[in-house]
Amino acid sequence: MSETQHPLTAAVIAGKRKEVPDLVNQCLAAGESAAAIVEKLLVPGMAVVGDRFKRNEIFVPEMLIAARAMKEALKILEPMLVAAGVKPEYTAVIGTVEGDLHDIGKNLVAMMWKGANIQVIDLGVNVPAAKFIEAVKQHQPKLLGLSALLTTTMPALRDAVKAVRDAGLPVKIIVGGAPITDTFAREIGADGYATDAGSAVDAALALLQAKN
Amino acid sequence: MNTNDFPAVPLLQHRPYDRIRELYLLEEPQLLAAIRRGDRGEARKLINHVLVHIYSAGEERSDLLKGLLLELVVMISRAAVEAGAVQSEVLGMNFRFLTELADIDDDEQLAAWLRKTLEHVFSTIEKQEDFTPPLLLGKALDFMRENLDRDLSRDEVARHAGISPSHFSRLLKERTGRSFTELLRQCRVDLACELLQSTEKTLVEISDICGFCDQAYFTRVFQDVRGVPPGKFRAARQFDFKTQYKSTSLQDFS
Repeated sequence: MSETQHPLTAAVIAGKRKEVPDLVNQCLAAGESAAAIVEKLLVPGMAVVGDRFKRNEIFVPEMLIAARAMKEALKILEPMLVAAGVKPEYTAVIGTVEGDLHDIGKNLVAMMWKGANIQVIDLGVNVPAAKFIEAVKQHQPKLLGLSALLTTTMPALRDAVKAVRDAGLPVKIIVGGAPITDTFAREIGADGYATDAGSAVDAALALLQAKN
Repeated sequence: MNTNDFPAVPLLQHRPYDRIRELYLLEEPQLLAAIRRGDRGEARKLINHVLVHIYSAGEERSDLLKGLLLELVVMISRAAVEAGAVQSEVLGMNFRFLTELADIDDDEQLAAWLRKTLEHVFSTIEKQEDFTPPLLLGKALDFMRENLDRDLSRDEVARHAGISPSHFSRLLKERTGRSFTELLRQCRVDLACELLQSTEKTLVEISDICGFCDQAYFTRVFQDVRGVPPGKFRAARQFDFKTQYKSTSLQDFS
């Protein structure tokens, strides 16, 4: 890379959460808009992290601290984005299916999607199908992410996809979690699937952009 | 949420230790194999599966998280020792990293600690290459010698010795200077020599026992390796043997 990395981008990549607020404020003081900071400095940083994760170069906690550093920046920037009326282009609803209490995989995907400038509504863990439907009706997202980490909760994943489909909601469904395979995802009628949080961004963007 | 006077109780009900241990043990053989063949990417991927569970269970409680991470490191180290790593090295390392872990109180330090520790354990296991090959190669050679009467592939022999085929090839080249095919041919010819000298078996029989597809091929390979065809080799040796025998017996009688 010939371009030198901006300190804020570098801080996100290295997961240096404590350095982030100062760096964000410096950018703002220099006249950058909140939207530009997100788009030019934060999104590329998370893209690097997602890429490294996808290539098996880093461990889960390294990705987590990067995501937390990103969150720290968004804490400052989000109110400004809202005030300026800037809305991310896409919205996604995400949650782990009923019976699944493992949230880290889902959290990582949520962070990575936020990192790709998608507005993410996180319903948390152990979410019944009815709640997914309600949230999709309310927020009108283009994307719904369903996560199941255990083989025992794969049936719940199937049920959730079916319930959303039966409700006739025009939303793309992406499923993921350690036991999920491409075949299973297609079999239960999902639109896409991702094996890890890094590829979840690619999978999401592929679905979102295909729709346009 | 209700306040809980015994915060560890619900955590124990979920039995995070048992589940994570099970998951790790399930992945351990693949993990060790990946590390041994130098595939750290695959090793990290496997560890990350376990880490997702660990962080799900312990994210909110740093003491539980540290406990789970420590157990993970200990389990991998145990596997390293069982697989032949120098015990004192692994244990010394554990103690040093344990002391460091006790002082860590934020996520960033913990992430850095984990990376350092895991990469170090990976290196320890990788280094065993210098330590285990004679054993593994010996196992592979024994297996080859016991099965010379049939077709043998490199993959089958490697699998039997518990090493990856490519790693097996590399080791062979390093230790014997030969490829698998060359070595197998040598083993077949060595056995043939032995049988030619010590038995009255026909060339067809010997060619069969030594795993050559037919006698013509046996003769060609044998000549290639020993410089003489098997029939001549036998005649010469039997002659040698007889003269030797005669000379000793003459001495005995003198």
